[in-house]
Amino acid sequence: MSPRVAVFKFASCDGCQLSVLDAEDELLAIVGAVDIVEFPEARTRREPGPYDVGFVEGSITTPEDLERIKQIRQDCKVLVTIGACATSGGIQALRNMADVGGYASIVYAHPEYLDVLATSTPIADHVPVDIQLYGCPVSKEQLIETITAVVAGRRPDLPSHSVCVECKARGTVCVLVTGTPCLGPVVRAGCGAICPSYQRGCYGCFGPSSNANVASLATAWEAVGMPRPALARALQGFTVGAPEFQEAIRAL
Amino acid sequence: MERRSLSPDGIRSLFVALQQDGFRIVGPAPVTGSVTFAEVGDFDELAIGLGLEVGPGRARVVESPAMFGAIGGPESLKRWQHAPQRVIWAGERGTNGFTGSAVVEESSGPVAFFGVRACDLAGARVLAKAIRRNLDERDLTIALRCTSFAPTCFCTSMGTGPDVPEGGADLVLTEVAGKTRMFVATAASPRGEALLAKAETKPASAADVDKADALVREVAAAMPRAFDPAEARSALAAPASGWDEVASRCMACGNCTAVCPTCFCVTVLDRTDPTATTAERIMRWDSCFTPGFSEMHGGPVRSSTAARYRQWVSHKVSWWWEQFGTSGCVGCGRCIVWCPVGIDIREEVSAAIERSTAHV
Ligand code: SF4
Ligand code: SF4
Repeated sequence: MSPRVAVFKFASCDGCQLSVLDAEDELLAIVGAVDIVEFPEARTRREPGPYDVGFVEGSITTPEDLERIKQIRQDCKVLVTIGACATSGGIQALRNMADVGGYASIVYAHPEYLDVLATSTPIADHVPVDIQLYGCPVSKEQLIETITAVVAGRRPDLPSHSVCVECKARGTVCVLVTGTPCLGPVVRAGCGAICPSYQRGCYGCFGPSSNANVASLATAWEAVGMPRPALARALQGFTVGAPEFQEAIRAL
Repeated sequence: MERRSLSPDGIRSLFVALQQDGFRIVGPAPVTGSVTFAEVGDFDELAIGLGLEVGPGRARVVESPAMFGAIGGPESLKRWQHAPQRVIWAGERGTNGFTGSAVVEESSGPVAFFGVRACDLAGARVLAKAIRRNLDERDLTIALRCTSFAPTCFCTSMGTGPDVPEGGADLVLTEVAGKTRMFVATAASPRGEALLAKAETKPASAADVDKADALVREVAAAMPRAFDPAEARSALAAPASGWDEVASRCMACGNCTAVCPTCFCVTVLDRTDPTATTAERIMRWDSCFTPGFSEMHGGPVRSSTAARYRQWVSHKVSWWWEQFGTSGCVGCGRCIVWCPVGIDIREEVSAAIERSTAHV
């Protein structure tokens, strides 16, 4: 019997689920190998658990989310988080450094109708997660790699080293050494180092790499005319909620 | 062997001769952001009149009085010798079980490496020992002796340059700067001699030959000494502490190992298709700075950046001798230029030597 797969959504923009759909050609083969039984973004038919593999997009932002994720964890043999929201809290984690009530009163006519938590937190803060796919959005290649690995019973290739490794493999000349600020040395690889290949610095979509050393990167940014507050601002993007970046933002 | 002289047009005729002989040509070329080795299809794609202004963690393209003036670009010959990624095995699940076989790389034709420096050639020799694979014997090397050097160069300390050793290349060029650009050429192998015979050349005058040799000698004399390789070898042989300061600057990003012409470490991993019927085994560049590199059951053996930096530099200048009978560092300075925070291997090795002598 093909493995039963489910896709769930929490606080997010749906971009990662669209990445799943974007894997159209490959998905045709995957649909043969796996049975996608729950995927509200893509189909109306819905089936209850248990599921063999559950993909979770989005962060935990409401009291209701807290309960729902526990049930999902119980229903899924393998739980995979997808994207910056699910793995680090997403751009909505900007609230973690501010007063969410203040935001709500600016945005909503009746903020009293809202029932939200003070913070936006990653899934792994609440339940054990088996595999994390980072990125904003998640990489199609990594999604397919993970699904094929689970099908074959092997470990997926999901390195936690820096973006620089990918720049060098593809032969992109380092934009930082040649004068453009880049977050790559402290950011997890996985996107294929797209931005530096267009002479843009890395924006940090995949969150911190292992052994990320932001304090040292600050000196390289200063050398290209970007003072510390500029680096602190650059870190306040899609992966602002990552503890390594939170700590660095406070220290910078 | 007789020395010949070539004008810039003569160099162009040399290039055309290589093309006519069916070589793919790798030479210094302008790439976005830098000048470095790249495959070029036309003589005018070479970086003519361009140089690089480099320092620790910094590189800018500048104009150069020399025809080929760039030193320190990120690419060495490694990319052509030891591809960043390749399939080494493929298998398939059939009705009668699983079958697989090694995948042999198909050669895409002989390569002429044009304008390679003494350190590039040394790097290729050292890498060849490590990966047990020489350049293709049909490949050709056209070396350029250095008549200038970058502040990150330390080939004289490592005994690899600026002169090209006997037998180090097929053809050796020296650019003699002057009002008009001119090169002195020495064929260093029968194939180099045959190539030179196809180019527009003149006999070189004794004065030009002397000038060419003097320029290279001046570079050798002017380049500051970095560290003594023998001292480095013994000082870094034993495990020692003292790596925390450099680890506070090192980002464990792996740029240094990627640009190093001799860093050869790879990881091997499997890929399968969605139905798990076909599989491929892939060999891919890795780095001693990645967490996966030293991962055993339970986690990486070297989890701290200090341990990784120490591993890298100790292997380069010390344990490499035990393993391959040579230093793993050839003094090209690429790791200094392309480290985004400008960590300088010369300073770190010198500091380690100092620490080791302070202890006894
Ligand atoms: S461009 Fe950025 S990601 Fe790429 S090697 Fe340079 S610092 Fe690293
Ligand atoms: S020495 Fe520089 S290039 Fe090498 S890993 Fe450390 S920070 Fe990156």
